[in-house]
Amino acid sequence: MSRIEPVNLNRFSQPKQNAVDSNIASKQSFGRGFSDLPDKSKKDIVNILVGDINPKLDKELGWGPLRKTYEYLAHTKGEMQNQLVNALFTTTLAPFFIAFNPFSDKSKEDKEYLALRQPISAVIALTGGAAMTKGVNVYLDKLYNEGFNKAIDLRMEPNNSYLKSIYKKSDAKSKGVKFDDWAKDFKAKRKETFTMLYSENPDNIQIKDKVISLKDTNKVIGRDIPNLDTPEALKEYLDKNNLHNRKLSDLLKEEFNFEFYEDGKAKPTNLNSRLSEVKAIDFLSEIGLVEKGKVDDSKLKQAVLNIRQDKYKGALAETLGISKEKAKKAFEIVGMDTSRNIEMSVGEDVGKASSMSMGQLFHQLGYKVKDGKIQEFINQPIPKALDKLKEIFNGKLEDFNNKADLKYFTENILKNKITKLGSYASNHKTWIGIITNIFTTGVTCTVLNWAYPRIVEALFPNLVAKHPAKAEKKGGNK
Amino acid sequence: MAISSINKSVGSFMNYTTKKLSKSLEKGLKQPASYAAKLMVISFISKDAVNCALYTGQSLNNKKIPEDKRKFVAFLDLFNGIINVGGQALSFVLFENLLVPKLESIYTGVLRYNKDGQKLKKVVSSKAALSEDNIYKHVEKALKDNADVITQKVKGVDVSEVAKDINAVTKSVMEKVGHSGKKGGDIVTGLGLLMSALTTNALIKRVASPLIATPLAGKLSDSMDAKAKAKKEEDSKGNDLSTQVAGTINNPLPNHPEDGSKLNKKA
Repeated sequence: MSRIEPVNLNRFSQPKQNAVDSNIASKQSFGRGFSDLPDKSKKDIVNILVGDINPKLDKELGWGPLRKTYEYLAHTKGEMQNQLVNALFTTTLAPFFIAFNPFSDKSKEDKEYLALRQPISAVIALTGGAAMTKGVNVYLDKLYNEGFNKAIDLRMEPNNSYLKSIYKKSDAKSKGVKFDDWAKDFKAKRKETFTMLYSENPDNIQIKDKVISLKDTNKVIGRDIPNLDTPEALKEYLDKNNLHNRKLSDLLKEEFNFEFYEDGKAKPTNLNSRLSEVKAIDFLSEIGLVEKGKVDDSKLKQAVLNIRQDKYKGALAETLGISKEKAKKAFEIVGMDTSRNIEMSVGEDVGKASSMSMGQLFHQLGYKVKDGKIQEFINQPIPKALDKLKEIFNGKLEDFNNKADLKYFTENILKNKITKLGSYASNHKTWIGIITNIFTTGVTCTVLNWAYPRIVEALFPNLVAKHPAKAEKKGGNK
Repeated sequence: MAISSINKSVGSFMNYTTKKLSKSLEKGLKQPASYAAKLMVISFISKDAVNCALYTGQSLNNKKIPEDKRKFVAFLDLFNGIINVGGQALSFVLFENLLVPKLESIYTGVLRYNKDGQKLKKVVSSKAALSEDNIYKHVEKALKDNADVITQKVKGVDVSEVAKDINAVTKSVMEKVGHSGKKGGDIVTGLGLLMSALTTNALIKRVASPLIATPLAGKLSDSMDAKAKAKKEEDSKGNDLSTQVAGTINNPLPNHPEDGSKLNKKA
């Protein structure tokens, strides 16, 4: 039986037949390979190609209406969609299978009486459910986009459903500016504001009359941001969100669910489990030191091996009192076993896992949990931790971003944060919708119980039994 | 000011709920397609559980429903609820783990599977529309067909040099249109939602549940009606004096000794 290998999605490490080694080509020629181009140029090229390729893919993806159904469902997912799907099948399928049920020996009138309940219940449930869901969605959008829910703060990139409400009241609509253009511009300004708020020295940021500016140049970086309109609100925001005020542990707490005591010490059980659960690649790409999808696990393992070997050579040089070059030669002579030992130690540490964990990475770099060194590392201010990691990996990891400065770091964090918060907002909305609709269901159920027999009696009297209802001492209409 | 205080309080509560849901929301970020389908089924099941409890109780006590139909309606609600909740949960787990990955792989060429508790993927087709190989072919052709447009719109770019780095170009295009990109993501998410809706809400809740619950409810309500009717008849026989024969000295009641001694003995 052939062994199933986890797929190597980075097949581009093995160039296709006839492809030229892009690194050699770009160095020899005057032109630049795609990888060496600035981000904007890459984005523009990709957009042109995607514009050409998309219609062709649409044809290859099969029957158009089915493909469009998939896309429509993906774009409209959420509690409102769940309600509509429920109502659709309640109205169409359920009555049919109740009324024409071949396994039931009830009379035709009984079955029809019951079947009619389905469309009536669908209308009542959908009316109540849709109203509740819409109300919840609108209110949650306000909480997310105005900074009331600090765990899902969308002020840096407001979502379209919230922006539409602002657009309707704005001058732009009356001037004929299209929503998409207006929203793109609005979001770009907000992103610039929050990039500055994150990366700029907090002592250099001031606010007056709801306008946020830099003290040294008086440059305006933002205005009329909801709940960022007083010096107190600005200070509170900067204390928690400016990178100069934050430690790496704060980032780990927010982005990776690490838990800490009040004094800043990591909770031991949580620390061990998070270090083993968070992948090293995810951590390094989250902080912008590698680009997501560019560096794979095998490259990272090789880099760690190189770092360990270099460290050994350095230690050897120091112990023997010789230069690093001589130590390198000495290492080459005796290094077979030592290199293998280091390889084995990296291999054993990582084990059969397809990805190196964050804990394994730090362990290999000499930051262990037991001796408190990892606690010390993650308690550093972010700029210091960033510089240390750059120093460790510089030159050792292919495609490592050693030019990452605080602004780049911020842009990367914000980019990842926006993606993450967008997903969190959408799914959190659905959860709150599900929970609030449990209460709505109680109400619509009671309404149905009252309305159903009355509607059937009024519209289909032939289905109601002719026997007089006997008086009951308990229960009754609720 | 009052509204602002309310918003702050509700905002804090929503902050709390977000933190409590953080691990689940993290899964939603990493596996958006299967998470969306899971939430859809949770939405259906939560309402069905509430409906089951409320409808059953209310139907039993609803005077407006004709008495001869009341038990049938209530039991139908009960059995529907039980089958809906259990059946939908089971069918979701089965379809999500067995059927949906296979359907996805038709479009993406990548099959996701579980092994030793890990979520893995393997390439099963290079001809699928959103597979790497297919996107590579499209990128190769698109670079040739759009060379002039690229040269015109993107400054300082030599298309022939870009084309030599086609692997990197394909990787970037895959992020937009591939199986983990926007287009692929929409297809996979939409497929998951459609399958969830059809296999749980349509198949189990609307087809299987009424087909099974209707006869079960009918049988149970008929059986309870029959028992109630028998009990009534028995009670009415016991209370009706005209049907009893009065015992006398000369005409003792059946099974009693003639001297009536047993009459004086009580168990």
